[in-house]
Amino acid sequence: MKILVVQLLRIGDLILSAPVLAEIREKFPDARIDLLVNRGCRPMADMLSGISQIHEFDREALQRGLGEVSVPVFESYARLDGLIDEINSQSYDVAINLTHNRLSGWLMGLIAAKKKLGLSLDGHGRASFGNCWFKYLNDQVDFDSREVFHYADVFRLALGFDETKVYTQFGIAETAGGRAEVERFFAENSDFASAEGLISIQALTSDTKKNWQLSSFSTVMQQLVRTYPKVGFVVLGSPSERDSLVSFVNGLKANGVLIELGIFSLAGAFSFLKKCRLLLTGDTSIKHLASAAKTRVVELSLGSSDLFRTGTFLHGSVILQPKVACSPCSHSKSCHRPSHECGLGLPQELVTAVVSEVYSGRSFQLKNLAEEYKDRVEIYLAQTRNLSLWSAVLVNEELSESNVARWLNLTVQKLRLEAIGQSDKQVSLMSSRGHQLSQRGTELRQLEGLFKSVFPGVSTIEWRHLLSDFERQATLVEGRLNSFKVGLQYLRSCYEDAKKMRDFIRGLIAFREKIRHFPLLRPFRLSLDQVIEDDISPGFTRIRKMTGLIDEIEVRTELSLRLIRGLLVTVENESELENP
Amino acid sequence: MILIETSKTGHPVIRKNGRLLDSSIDPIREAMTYFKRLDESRRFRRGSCEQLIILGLGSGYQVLEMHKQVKSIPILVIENDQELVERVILGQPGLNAAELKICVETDWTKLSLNPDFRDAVVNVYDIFVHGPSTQLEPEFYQGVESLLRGRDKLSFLHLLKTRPELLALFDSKAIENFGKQPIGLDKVGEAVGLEQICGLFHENSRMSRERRLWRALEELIT
Repeated sequence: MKILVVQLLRIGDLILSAPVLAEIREKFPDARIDLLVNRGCRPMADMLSGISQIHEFDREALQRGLGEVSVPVFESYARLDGLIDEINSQSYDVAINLTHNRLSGWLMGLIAAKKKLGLSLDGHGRASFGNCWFKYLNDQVDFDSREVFHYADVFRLALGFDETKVYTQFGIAETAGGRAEVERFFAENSDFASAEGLISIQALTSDTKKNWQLSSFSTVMQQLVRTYPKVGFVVLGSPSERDSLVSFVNGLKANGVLIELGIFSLAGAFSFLKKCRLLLTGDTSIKHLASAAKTRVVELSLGSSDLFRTGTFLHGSVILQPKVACSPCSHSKSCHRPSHECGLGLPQELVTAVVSEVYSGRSFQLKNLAEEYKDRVEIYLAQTRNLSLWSAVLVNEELSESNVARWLNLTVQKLRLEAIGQSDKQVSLMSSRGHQLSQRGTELRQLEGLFKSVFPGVSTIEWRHLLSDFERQATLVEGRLNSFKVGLQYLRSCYEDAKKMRDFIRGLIAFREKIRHFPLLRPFRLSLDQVIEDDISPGFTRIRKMTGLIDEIEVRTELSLRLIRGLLVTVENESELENP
Repeated sequence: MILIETSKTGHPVIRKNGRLLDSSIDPIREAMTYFKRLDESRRFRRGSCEQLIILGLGSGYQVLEMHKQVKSIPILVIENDQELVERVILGQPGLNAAELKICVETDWTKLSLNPDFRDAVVNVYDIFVHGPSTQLEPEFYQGVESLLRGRDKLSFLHLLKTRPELLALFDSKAIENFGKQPIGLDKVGEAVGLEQICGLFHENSRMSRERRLWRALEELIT
């Protein structure tokens, strides 16, 4: 079998795709796996083991051909045409698009493969996704939601891989060149032989919004040296960042800090990270590379960093996110504030304390720190051992409707997508999907386990109160849905009657207002917003959308209720055991 | 008038209309220096070029040096003097190599009908200029260069003839209007580009492969 995987985003996204590539290799050991990546990602793609051929998408050359009048007018067209011919000459059996942009969709439409997974745009410009998980990947709405799946999870669920465990192998191999770079570094910096541990810091990122001030990094390092006088710091950077970092590093050296600048290739950085005890950074690529090297990360989630979709993947890593209303911001827009509030809102002493905890392999102080700084910063722990999914758990997560609803809604969403995934029309890489909807009990057990670890010591009475509230809210929705269904049936017979449509919409608005303060029903509220505010679509289309929404709410409510009632039964059982 | 002289190193050098087309001292070294000085950012240096197009044959040294250095990439030479070509080939048998083609045409607007030219421009090509030849015939070679770039309307319409697959998909009315509209060549913004090309397509309900390639390219414009 010949498989082509399309990943046309940045290096960080390619590293995040590495686990699913490794899993494809594991599941299909005889398959030939090729990649289509941006030319700039080539060095990273070369580090992925088991890839037979790498097709380069030379975005820069294509853009130059389109934008510069000195370049022949048909050059970009000829280039792209040639690339598609080169790809199609391989006659791929499967093409998988892990990218969620329209460009990749058009390319997928042009690639001839027997089976296509992921966004593909046909000759009419219509999108197809193969299955609901890829559709989910491309439905990039509600960016401030915490009830989303990590991209690495979405990739593997979309391919139909076993979802009862998180796959954490990256399949990134050290290279001889990378090792040689590291050896050269230690040979040139013999002081580091006496360091008791290494902390690498990637201070600069390609997106200035994600940068924390160099002065803050400097303070953190000086504070850490007071506790760990023998720690060695290596400031990682690309050759283009050398000039910006030299004076910064020299300034710290003058203050007696054991520090050096580490300008490595990607392969060198990977080998070097393997030798470090932790990485402190706000940069996407390097944090994922550290995850692949199994080096813990203290991630500063600033600017457009979307920790719930692209957070550090390695279990046990810590993510700090300042509480700023505009966070995460848009990738493509510059910061609208006079200064980067998110960076400024991150206290240096907190970062020092967190790094200190992770460096020493402890975690018991994290909760205290989270409590102390709870008004300014959220501290998350990356986990891969709950829910069979990567998850970011607040270290001081309290039992609240909002926090419990987040996990419930995620589980419901997963079950819902899995249920749709069972349909015959869904395309999957695997011939049969391992997980069945009937295995809902697994999800319930996982939820129970998660709640026990995230909310330890919460009494059964508190659980009973909260879950009973949830049950009431879900039942309220269930009751209201019937009247909506009747209303829709009536509307279908008179969909051009604007007054009746208005009345029905008014009913939806009232319903939306009623559920506004229920965190459990938040996903419905957002969907309702879309339908209510859509006053452009013709009446018939609107009715179709509303019917779809009501059906969706019904199914999800049913799933929620089953989970809630299942949890309630467990709580009751535990209560009986406590008070026989 | 074409004369053949001998350089100090003993190599034949063409003198055309009183002007030497290559070095009278060492034309081979001159060609080597020319190649060395070519910018590192040139497409063929980065391996992203499928065809070299050289404007002007000269005495053939520059062409032969390019061929020697970049053997894997075919070369098309565009020249407007048949007699010069015949005399140079007599003295430079290396120019008969299969990867080297010489296209002789006195009117640049007819180049798009030449089969060798058409074969060459469907690829990603890099343009090189033999300086003395282009200085002798500036009008012709400027026309050829513009044609190869296709960024002004006239050149674009001529170049389009080499891409019948696109021509068939374009709306004939749109092309007619496109040709009629005046264009200020001094305004870079009015140079032919993606937007103008995409505006020429016949908007059928189902898009052809070519149209979809252009749609993909549209996504690259931010």
